[in-house]
Amino acid sequence: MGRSTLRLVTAILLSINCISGNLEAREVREPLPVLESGFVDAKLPTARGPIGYSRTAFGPLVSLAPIVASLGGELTIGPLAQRHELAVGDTRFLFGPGSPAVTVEQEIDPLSQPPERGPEGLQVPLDLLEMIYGRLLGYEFEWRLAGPELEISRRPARQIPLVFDVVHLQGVTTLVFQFPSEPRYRIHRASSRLEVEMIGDRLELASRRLFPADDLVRDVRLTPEKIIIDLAPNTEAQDYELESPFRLVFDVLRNSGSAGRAAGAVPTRTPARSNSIRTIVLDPGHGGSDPGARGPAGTEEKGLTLILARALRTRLEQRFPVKVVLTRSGDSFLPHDTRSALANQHKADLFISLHINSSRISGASGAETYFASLDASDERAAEAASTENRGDPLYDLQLILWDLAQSRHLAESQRFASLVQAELNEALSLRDRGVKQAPFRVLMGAAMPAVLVELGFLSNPREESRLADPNYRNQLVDALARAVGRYKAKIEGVVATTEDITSR
Amino acid sequence: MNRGTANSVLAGIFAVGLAGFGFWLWSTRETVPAAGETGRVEPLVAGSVQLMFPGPGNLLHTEDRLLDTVGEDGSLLATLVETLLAGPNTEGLFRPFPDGTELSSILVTRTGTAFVDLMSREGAPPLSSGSTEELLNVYSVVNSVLVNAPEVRGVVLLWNGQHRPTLAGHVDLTRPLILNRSLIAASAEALSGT
Repeated sequence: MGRSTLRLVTAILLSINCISGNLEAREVREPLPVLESGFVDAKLPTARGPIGYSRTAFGPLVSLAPIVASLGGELTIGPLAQRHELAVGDTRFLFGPGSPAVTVEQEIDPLSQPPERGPEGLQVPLDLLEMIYGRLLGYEFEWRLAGPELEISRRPARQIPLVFDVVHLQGVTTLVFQFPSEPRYRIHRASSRLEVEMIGDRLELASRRLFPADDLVRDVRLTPEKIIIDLAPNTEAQDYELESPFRLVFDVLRNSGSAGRAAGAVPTRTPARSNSIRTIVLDPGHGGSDPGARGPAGTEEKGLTLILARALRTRLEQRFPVKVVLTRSGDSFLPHDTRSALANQHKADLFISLHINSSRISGASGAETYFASLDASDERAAEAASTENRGDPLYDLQLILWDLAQSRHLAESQRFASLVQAELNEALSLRDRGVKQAPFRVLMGAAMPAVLVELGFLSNPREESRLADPNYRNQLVDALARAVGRYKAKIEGVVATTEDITSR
Repeated sequence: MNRGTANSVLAGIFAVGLAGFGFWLWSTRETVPAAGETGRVEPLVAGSVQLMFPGPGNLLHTEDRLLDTVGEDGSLLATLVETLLAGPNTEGLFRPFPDGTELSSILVTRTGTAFVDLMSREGAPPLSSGSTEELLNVYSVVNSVLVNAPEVRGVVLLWNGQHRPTLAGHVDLTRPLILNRSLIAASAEALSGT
């Protein structure tokens, strides 16, 4: 079961539970002790008057009905007053007394405390109101202890300078909208149109590249209230956010149903691809004129990594229906960018760079697994975004390519790195050096989950000697293959059998 | 003026404008400053500084040093890097680069990027090493500069006057590096362990 399916099922179950009011199925819970209750002097946009409230250790709860009457929305209450549905525009919120969560369409968001029944009907925490009326309509809620007093006002509209950029990478058109700070927005999706509606703010275009229509995106337009993106037929757009600076990003790609039909079109990465592991690129570190680390007995890292990569390729192809590609098959020098570019060209689903470590600390030992650290990239992005440093469009574009290629896969890279490290720890009595982040060049340009594994210290004579032993290398290869198996099973949403992931 | 002449004049104006714009782009880009070019920022004042040397636990260990002289190019920041390259006073710590590695020049741009050009006295390429060693070597310079010179925002390392993708095959040197706190040993951390 995929993650989105699981989330949907959970949402439905929660809603059913909420709808039925089946208290037996729910955890029995005592309401939080009420510290005080009464009426708060509420300044609403259209009126002023007392509203019922109570206060717990987690803050105030205020009566919902008069706020809905003032701010708008349609509130429907289920037969046992358990299920509350509030529709504001096209968005429906489901919540109920005693449940510290709200279901918004198919998402579940936690609340600071559960709503509770009060004399005027349901009383809700302010963060629920903020979620409903703040996010959708731009209202702000201010609670003042003196009085107490509740002020609800509309945030004044800000002019938001927007920077728009486009990146074409591997058959995906990536639209990047950069904001000076995180804005409030809503995304509306129609068949071939996306609209990003700003809530309470107005857009102004600070700078933009010309947008030439391509096979995937027909047009991008901007009004003060919204960004309008017209997609080509048979495409879909996936949105996500990047931080520092805040960027709203859309990856536009051919949908899976049309992947085979787009003759002559730019090769695309179909959504199905991201849910399966079919191609793995193994990168034996160093090579040619770059020997890498050298052990006291003269063992060179470049030779060992090649031996390990070849063995791992064989093991993976025996065990899983995957294609495995090596970045180098002999003792040749290969620039770092070429290694990740090869992985991108092969549309790899996983990139594993194999290395052997060295240290001047004589006893240093153990394995460690790295995924990319983009701190420097983010810092640089912020710098490039500043007016002072603008001026080299090519540099900016490279920056965005760097930033996007690995940053959108960081979570998965970390997830895979954890599995690799866990398998190495379990299989070998190596010292656990843990999962780490570093700005390693070979990982930066990889447009897929990517890790760099250090399989021991050549500088340690004992580990150099172990690495020279084929049986020990087999154990390393088995551990890596099991990690790939576990990751593959997770990604593909299947239960891995012991046979799938253990050595034969 | 007939239409053909007008078109030619317009094309000429456009070409001149394009050339001007191209020159402006070229002149405003951030590049490695030429040798001898003076950086805008002189970020250090004489006094106590903290240098970071590779050491036990494969971490960077801080050593307090007094900086009261200027380097060969008249910059206190240069003295800092030269002192770092000369090695630690504390037993158990290492010099970040082998003997024969010197500071060629150090320059700070108007946007706060320090370009630190290291050179081998013999003109040799940097030594091969594993990633841990390379991380410690690179960040001993980067962190030492950044913790002592708050106006420097990022450090670019060069070798023998050249940009390199990495020094020894791992750490990305194509972008300015920022402070890496994860490599710094806690002050209470004993100088032991591996």
